[in-house]
Amino acid sequence: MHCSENELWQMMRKAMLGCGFRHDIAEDAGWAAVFASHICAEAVVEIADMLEHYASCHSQNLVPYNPSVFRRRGEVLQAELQPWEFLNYGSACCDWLIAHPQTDSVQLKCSSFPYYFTGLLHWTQRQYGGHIILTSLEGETIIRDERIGTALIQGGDITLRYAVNTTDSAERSTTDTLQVEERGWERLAHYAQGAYVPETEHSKLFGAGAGLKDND
Amino acid sequence: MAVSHQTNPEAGTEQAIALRPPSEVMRLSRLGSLFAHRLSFMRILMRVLCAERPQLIITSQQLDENGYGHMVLTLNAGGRPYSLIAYSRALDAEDRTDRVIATKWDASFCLFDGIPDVQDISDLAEQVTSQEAGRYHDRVLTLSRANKSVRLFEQVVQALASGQMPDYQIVSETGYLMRTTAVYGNGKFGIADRSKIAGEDVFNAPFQAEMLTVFLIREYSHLLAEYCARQKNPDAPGLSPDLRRALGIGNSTGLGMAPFLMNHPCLIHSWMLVRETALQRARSLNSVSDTQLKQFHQLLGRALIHIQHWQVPDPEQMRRNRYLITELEDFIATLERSPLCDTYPLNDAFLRCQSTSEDMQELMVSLLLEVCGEQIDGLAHCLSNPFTPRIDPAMTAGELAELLNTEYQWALEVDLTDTDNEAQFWYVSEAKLEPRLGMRFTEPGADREMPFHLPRYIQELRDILEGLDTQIRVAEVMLNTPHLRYIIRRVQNIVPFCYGEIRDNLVARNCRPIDLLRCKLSFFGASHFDPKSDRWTRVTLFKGAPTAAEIAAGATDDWLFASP
Repeated sequence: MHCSENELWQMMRKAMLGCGFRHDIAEDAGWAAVFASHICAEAVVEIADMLEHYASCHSQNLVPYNPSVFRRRGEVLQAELQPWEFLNYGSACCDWLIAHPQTDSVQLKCSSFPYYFTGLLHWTQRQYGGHIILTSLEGETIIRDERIGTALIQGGDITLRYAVNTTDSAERSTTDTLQVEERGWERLAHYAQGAYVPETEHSKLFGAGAGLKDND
Repeated sequence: MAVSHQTNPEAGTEQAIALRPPSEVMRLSRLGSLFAHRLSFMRILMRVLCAERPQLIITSQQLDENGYGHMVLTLNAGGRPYSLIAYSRALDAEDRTDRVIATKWDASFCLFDGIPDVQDISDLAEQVTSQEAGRYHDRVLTLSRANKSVRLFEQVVQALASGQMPDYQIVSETGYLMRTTAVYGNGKFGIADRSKIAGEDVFNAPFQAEMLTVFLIREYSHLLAEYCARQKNPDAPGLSPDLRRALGIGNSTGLGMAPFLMNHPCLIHSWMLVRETALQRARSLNSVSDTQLKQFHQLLGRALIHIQHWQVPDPEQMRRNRYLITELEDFIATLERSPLCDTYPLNDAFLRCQSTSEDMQELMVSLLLEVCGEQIDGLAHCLSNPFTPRIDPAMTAGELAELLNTEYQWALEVDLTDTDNEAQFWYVSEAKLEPRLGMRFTEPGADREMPFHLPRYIQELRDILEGLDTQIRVAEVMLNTPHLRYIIRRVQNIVPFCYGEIRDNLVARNCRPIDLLRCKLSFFGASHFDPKSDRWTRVTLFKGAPTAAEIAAGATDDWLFASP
């Protein structure tokens, strides 16, 4: 199905909030979903699958964040992550990359490299105007390579490096028409419901500060 | 934060007049005192249209004897045709409400990129008339709906049908035949993202597609009333030009606008910086022409009449209006005794208002901007902002703490042991996703609140930073205290976007959300604020603006406070 970028951003953000993620992570996830969906229409299905691991959480019971997932080796951050854990820890990896440019500063061991994280790296790269270079058994790849979501990376040991001051900003256009898988979209919409406050008679009458009619 | 002095090469000789600092400008009470001004979005659109003088064409119309059916109004802007597709339907009285939770309306609209063919009009009918429940493609640029004014629409139709012009006084008091209850843009429900149209010159400034939509709805409302009158009497006259001018479009606005200001700090920074820069340019003019001076005097008179006629039921707004009238009369009287200085006359006018109310000060800003079109109109291109807040993870904890001290004193000083200071919370209701305010300690839902409780976040961040080595990087701080990442990003964003933060407690019991609404609506160019509570207001859009026919005939964009 067709959807707009802003619509997908909002839907992903709310789905994250509905599953108990923090606002900052939810906002990042919105952009990750937009960029990932430009690579692959099925990205939202993958994201919905990943969200399923957190579906029992909601904002009253926030998704736990465990800093000990990460190990520090000087300026290097190491982590072993399951695909769905990128929802929770992906933003921290990106922050670390930007804080420590030019070094292989993030080292990941993962069973697969989700579209979601590719989208998040795209977004980060666009925000900071440099390159994120991914090194795996396959060799070095600049993260903008669209193949990265499919055959190139199957997980394993991966190193990420952020390079500043490049002449090529690696900025991709996000003005293309966006197509997403409807079954993934519907699941995101379901999770987004958790971000909303159920209506009560009191909130209906007073929450918006208007009468129920307000006709003139 | 010091705001650097910016020189204006167009202004010639300058004296060093600084921008007003964010700590002065970004307070709720001041934001709630803003008036429409020359760089408001409606005004920008009108200048584009007045320069191009396009002809409005009805490219398709199929209406029954009650005016139900569709009408397509097409206007060229920036060399391209854009069309308002308007569908009108019968609406039972019990279904009529201006709340966003409504599901039926008198009329539903979309702005279409190009001229729709019969198939387009047919395909979109079911979607557009169900608004949020529909799905759209990206040739649809905006989506809107409106209800007829119960007070006025039928009265105008009856008058025309009887061969009479409606009474000007009655028409002007209401100010509109239809009232919109939402105008959606930027990708909602699948319509075109702003990024798709932002490259078009005509849509470069913010909300231009939405403003064009409302402008065309205004034309539609005039045409529909005339059509309905002619169904009763084929010889019914059309509305006179002065009545058409006096009829804008009403709008009911609730809390939805308030979160927008909080959620788009980069964009809000640009709006406020442009307005403050425009003011600085006006104040920095060494001299003004006789024409400018004469215009200033005329505008003072217009503003006085406008405010004298600004009658609303809300006692607080009326108290402010009465006080403003007194201050404006005093200003005019003083001006007669003591004309503006020959040098820096507009700065003189500005400084004369420094001990007046914020209403008077901000009214003066609008008046000063109005006479400086040559100096400030180019700033319209600076109102957009494509950036979103980003983290500087390499910043040190010490630098971050310093930012808190310099920019967030207002939040650090909030006493959080007093429950009144966090009595409210903002949330999104599951009912049509309507933003609402609740009482934190008595209503459910605070666990899903929007992240607007800045005093709490800021104070917690300060407490954490106090225990840390000042040299460690923010990336490391966030690794250990990830829940502070949201507020860290917000605090850091204030460095490049210093006007992006509203410097007041939005969850306090005494917070007046209507101040946020008025700020945003003033940038739209709305007038006749008619508060219905502290979080809900009616306004009028395009009242007094040239009509499409007048624009085609060469009208100019000179309508600030033009219509009482």
